[in-house]
Amino acid sequence: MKLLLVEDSASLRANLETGFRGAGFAVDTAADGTEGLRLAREKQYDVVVLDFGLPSLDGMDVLQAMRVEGNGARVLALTARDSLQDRLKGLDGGADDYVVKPFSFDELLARVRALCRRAYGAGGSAIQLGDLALDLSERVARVGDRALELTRREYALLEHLAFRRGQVVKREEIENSLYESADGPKSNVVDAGILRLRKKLVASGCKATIETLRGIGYRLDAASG
Amino acid sequence: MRSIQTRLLLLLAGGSATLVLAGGWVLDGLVRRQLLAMLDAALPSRAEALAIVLALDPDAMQEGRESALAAALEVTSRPFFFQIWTHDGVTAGRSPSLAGVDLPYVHGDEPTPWFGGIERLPNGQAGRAVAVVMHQVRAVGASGGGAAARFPLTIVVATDQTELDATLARLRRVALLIVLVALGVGVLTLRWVLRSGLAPLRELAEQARGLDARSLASRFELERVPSELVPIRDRLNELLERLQAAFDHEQRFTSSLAHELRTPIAELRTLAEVALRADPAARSSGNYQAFLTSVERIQSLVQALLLLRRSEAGQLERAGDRVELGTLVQDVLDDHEASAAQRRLSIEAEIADGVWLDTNRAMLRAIVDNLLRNAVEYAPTGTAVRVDVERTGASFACRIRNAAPALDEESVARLFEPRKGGQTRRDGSHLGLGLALCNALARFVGLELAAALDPEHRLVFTIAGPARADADQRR
Repeated sequence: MKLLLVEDSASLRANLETGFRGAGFAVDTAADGTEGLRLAREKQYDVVVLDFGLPSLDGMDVLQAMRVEGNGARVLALTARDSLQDRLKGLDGGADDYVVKPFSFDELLARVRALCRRAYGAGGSAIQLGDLALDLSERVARVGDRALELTRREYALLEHLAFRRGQVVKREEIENSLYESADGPKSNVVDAGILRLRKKLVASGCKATIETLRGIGYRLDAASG
Repeated sequence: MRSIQTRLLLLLAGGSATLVLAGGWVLDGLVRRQLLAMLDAALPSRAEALAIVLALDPDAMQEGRESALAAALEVTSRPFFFQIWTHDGVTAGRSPSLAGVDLPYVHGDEPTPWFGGIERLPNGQAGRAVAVVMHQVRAVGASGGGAAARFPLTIVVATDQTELDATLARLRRVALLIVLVALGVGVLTLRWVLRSGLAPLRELAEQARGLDARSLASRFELERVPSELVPIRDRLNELLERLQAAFDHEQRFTSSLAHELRTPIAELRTLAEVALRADPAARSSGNYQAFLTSVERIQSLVQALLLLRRSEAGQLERAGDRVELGTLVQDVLDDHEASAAQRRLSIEAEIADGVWLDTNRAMLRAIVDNLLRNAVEYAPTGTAVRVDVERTGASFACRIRNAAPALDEESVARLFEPRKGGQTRRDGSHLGLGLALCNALARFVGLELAAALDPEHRLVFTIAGPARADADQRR
């Protein structure tokens, strides 16, 4: 997976580069918008992590230029601006996801991975599973027209299962993907998360089900009936 | 407190009423005196008529001939009484209608007529009397052919004042009616005058009432400003301008500071998290986790500070989000899982499902996050942090408990005061700013935040407030 990181803070750039490399990404970095746009034009990236507050060329300008030129790389906006207007502006401007500083690296990594899955999957910004719909940009799950109240972990778990809908996802895979830095017996965390998620799906009247395959893992299916 | 309008109205109406009453009393006296003078004016002519009769007929006052004297008085329908006194105070004659009652005796030396009041005349009415002195010339001698002598006589004539009293009473009634109507109209007019006169002041007060931290950009705009209020309006507008500038500057500074801190915090946090992921030695030492916990604490404070600034700037709604409390609390618990594990704290959670609130999600999250961070940070190593979310009727309570062996009631009472937080961190500091911010945020969203020690000497933070009805949980 090729990732371009455009961030003007040298310290943050270096730490993120280390973190992404450690997670298996091939990482290029740029310290300003002009350099970032040049790299995005020259190379093909799966994901671009783009700081919006950049010197020389603002992140928003970089994003717009990429979209105008037909660059289809998934873009995750990284910014210190956290108002709803800023968020909407970023997403409307062509960003696929939006993370506000300061952030948890685990969460950032999970979101970058989700963008990669989207890059290699159906490519859309939504997953529909019967009456269950996931808005991958807004990170919201809906049953019908009602949004489900999920914790970030529950949403990440649901999204993970939804990308592999109909397939068995091993518990270890979930543990490694979603709870990498969690201490303690991770399987309990996964089991508890699955239990809460299943309860919320049932309570919302959702027809999709999470099946437990004892000793193997879990499978998300649309309604069988 | 009474309004200026009411005070002025009472004062002016009271003053006017007092003046009118005093004026009425004086006028009443003058009118009465005038009427008495008119009554008195009729009496001397009657006395003089009697004197003429007596001069012409000295024997007219002899017993049995009083009718001749009485006839001299019967020129009007008004009843007259008379009594004639000799110089030594002996009654020389009287009107038959006196029925034996005496009129006042005035000594005949009086040079001018005497006027006076009579309390009760024979007809039962009060009256007025006049006394004049005449000298009757009478022949002295047995046959009357001798020399003539002058005998002083006092003639007292009286009449009743029924008509005068009736006139006076009628005048008083009319005057009272006029005064009452005038007072009523006066009060209404006064009220209208005061109301319209004080309208600019009232407008100023209305505009001042509508001012708060969110409306410092507005200015006092008054129509038809009286000259007395112009300097007040101008000074107030100047003050508002300066206040707005100071407030904006302070907000911009705090907001810029908070925003500027975001990137350095992200740098520090990523440094710790990447190190923890990449380096098993860093994970086992606990130093990076402690470092990460400190960074998260700063992040939490900055976030709360930003929210508070935005709420003061009117950029946030108090109840714009519908939130399922259990999910929110669980989400925050997930964030603190690693810190709790690093301190070997067990987290016990009993979270009721379906507790929905109308609130500000970011603010509620900041409150829960700060309280839970507080609990995870201060709980003695190896103890438990307990979180309960429950619904009771139309309200909810979220309780976060941790063992607090070093706290006493007095410290707990001061927990929400900045820089006076009662718990001491492991590094010895105790800023307490996070709890003060929590308290301010809770006030903004209309929730109650309280701290207490339970019987097991655990510090219990309780967030409480109204919950939505079961039937109407989602929108």
